[in-house]
Amino acid sequence: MSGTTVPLVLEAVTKRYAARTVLDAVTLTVEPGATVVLRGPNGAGKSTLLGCIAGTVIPDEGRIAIGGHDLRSEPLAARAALRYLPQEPEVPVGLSGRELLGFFADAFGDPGGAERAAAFLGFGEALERFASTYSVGMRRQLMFAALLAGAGAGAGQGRLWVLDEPFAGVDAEGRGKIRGAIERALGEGAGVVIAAHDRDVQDVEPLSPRVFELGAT
Amino acid sequence: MVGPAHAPTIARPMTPSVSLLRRFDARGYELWLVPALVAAIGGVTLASAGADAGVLRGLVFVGGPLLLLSGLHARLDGYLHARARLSLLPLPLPPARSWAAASGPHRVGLGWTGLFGVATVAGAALGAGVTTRQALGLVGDFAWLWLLAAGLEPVIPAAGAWLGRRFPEERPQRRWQERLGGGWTIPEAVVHLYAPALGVGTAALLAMPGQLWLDLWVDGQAPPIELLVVGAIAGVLAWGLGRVAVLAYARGMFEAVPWVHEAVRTLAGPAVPEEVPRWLLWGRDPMQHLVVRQFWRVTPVPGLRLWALLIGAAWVGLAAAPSVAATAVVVALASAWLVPGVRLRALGPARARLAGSLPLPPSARAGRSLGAWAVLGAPVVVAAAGVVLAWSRAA
Repeated sequence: MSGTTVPLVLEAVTKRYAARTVLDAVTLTVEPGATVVLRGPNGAGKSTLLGCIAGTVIPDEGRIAIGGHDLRSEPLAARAALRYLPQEPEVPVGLSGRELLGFFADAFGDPGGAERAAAFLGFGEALERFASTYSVGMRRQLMFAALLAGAGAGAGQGRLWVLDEPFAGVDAEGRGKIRGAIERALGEGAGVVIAAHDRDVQDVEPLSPRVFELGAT
Repeated sequence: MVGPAHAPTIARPMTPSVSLLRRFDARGYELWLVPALVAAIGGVTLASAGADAGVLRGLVFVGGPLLLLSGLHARLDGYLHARARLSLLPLPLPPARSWAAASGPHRVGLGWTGLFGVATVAGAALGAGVTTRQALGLVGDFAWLWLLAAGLEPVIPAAGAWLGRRFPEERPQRRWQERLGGGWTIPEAVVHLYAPALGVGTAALLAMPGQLWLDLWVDGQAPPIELLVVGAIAGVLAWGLGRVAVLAYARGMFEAVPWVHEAVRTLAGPAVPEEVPRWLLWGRDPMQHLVVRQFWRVTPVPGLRLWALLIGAAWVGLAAAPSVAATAVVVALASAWLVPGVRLRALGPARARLAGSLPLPPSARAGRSLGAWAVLGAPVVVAAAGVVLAWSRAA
């Protein structure tokens, strides 16, 4: 792997809630240009694993590195390499779609990012409306585009895209756009982790994913 | 291998404006409602204590920290506990930005608390019949405590971030986390059980030399200069610690936020809702039942609010001579009961989406229920009747 940055390294990540072990020494590496699909029944620990990668859940043991940066000791650098789409994206009340894209572009330090994301969306005038008035599918597309707002300046290599059911509730055209954006990121050397259900197979298959199975406990 | 030979260029975050960050976590009545209620109760207590300056000082000494504690959770919520902190955690936002976003509502809450405290102490002291000099001394006692608390309070979330992490087993911090937890919560969240009270208690302790100096001066004695010096040092210490607190917060925020949210989830217990009193669910209107149930479930301690209002109204209604202060308490209790209705109104569109296609009357399909508001307003009507009865009897 000399000369490249590994988007994600999980080393023996364990997470327990009280006496229940949800993740037991999970080890996973996502190479540049690779897609990993997390599969498993409800309660298998997919959301917990994604939370550990996103930094919203602290594992009891193990190490996580994103884009070559340890999530614990270099929290800002690791997050700068992370693009995370949660399962239920929270759209704050009182912000227009365009303002939300601007927020993400600022957070990732990508000055032209908001305009690029707006062009990707193609929402037109709707982008000026409160994001909280969008339909479910529009919200998901908006939040995905918000990640694109931070994708400038070497968008792909070493970056990690973590997408929790990115196609849920999105129409065919939107799914195609999202899939295209993921393929471009992969082509630039990003790694992608997707949590998906069986119904998403047709959208995920073209990405030639490696399946990572999590067992129910 | 993890270490990169060619690390990707990571642009330095431009950090979104603090005002934009604050819109992810808007705060409302939480910042003033409970302190207003506590101040009203404190005002009644002070006004009833007579004109003994010593007793009034004792009450201000005890009541001041209680008033500061009453709104503390709401004031400090944005630093670590707010949902927005967790949802924004995957972004590369410097902790100092989160700190700045949280400190705005913190200052607003402090402002309200200080205003309520000063107004209550001044009004009640003058009403109790002490001299203007003594009344100003009492106000000064509270104001000095408030000033030190304002300086020191940022240390509370900073300590929560610094100590709300996982330490290696051999470290003393870990042993203290386990020793002080008592099984109430996960070790990493133990600090949140103690830091608020310790913070306000420390502010009260640091305020004592200055308060003593002021009281001696008000009494016409010659206060020793040492007290003034120690008081000034305490003030500098409180504000100095408050200024550097952001450093400790930045060191621990990224780990403390997930831990505190995990603690809240595991403490919350099973997601089984509390029963709504049957008498609130009279009639057969499904939308009325839905709205009343939502009110009961989105309102913190609804039973306590309801009984406090009814008992307060009975107290005023049966009193031989009603007072303005007691009436103010009933008004505050009525507000505490009704204010969650603001949130209920905001849930109206969601109710409309739920009921839009159901065979219900047009107003119910729009998510509204007059019957529900009549039920929820009934305790306020009863309380108002008690107050009117008392005042008409006195007239």
